[in-house]
Amino acid sequence: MNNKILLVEDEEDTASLLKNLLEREGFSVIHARDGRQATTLVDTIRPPSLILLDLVLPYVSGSELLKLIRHHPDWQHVPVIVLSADSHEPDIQRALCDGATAYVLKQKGSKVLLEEVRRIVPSSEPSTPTWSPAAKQETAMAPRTQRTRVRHRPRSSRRKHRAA
Amino acid sequence: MEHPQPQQAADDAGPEIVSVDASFEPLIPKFMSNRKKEVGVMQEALTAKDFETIRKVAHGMKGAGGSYGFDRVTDMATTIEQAAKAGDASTIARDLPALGFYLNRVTVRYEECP
Repeated sequence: MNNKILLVEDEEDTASLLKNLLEREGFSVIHARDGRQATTLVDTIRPPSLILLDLVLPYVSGSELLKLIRHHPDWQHVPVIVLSADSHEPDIQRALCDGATAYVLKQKGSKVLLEEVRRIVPSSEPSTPTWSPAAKQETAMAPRTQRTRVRHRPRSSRRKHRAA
Repeated sequence: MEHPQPQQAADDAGPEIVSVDASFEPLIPKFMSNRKKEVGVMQEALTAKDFETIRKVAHGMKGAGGSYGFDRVTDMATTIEQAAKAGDASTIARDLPALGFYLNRVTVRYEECP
């Protein structure tokens, strides 16, 4: 079972909180403190089940990292949840167009984030390919109430990335 | 677009209580200590008119505050971040003390999940 999550977050306290939350859910967390460290991991370790990616990072930005991941032969299908404090619409659109699976705002208790993580990678089940039709349908059918703080990649963009 | 009024909020003499999941209690002292340190860093940066440092620190605080449930911290940090982007020293000079005051005053209540 691959229940490994790569957490790319430079803010120390946020990283501690997320690591704590995810480990409690049964995930094994690898933490990269900046974009450069994450880039090295992409080149040296096996792909995780999921990547949680902050956008504002030292050395290599989250946006650059996302593009790198989507063009990496072994990592291109790994789901990426962009985790951001910004709700600026162009940033959200750009992240989704660049291949983010979902865009989640940092918020109280990170409950929405955990729900999204559970939806994409159920910890009690073996890892399945992220872009399987079933997985995509489930994400697309997220309840409307959750869409207020979670944005998903449009279907057309998914197809483009899948074909790439 | 409405912006939060941190100075006004901080001047309110009522109690400031933030509820946090009890399992996160071990993380809170460090969280609070780091935020207070960051207020000092931003004060120094303001003296040096180093708006880029203020912007970066405030951005990190905005995310951390949101993740831990300190919504007021997030609101204040958002205002300071925007002011830093605009090079607005007077807003930062007004709001930083309010943020420091809030951090010293806030009480954390730990709640057990059902």
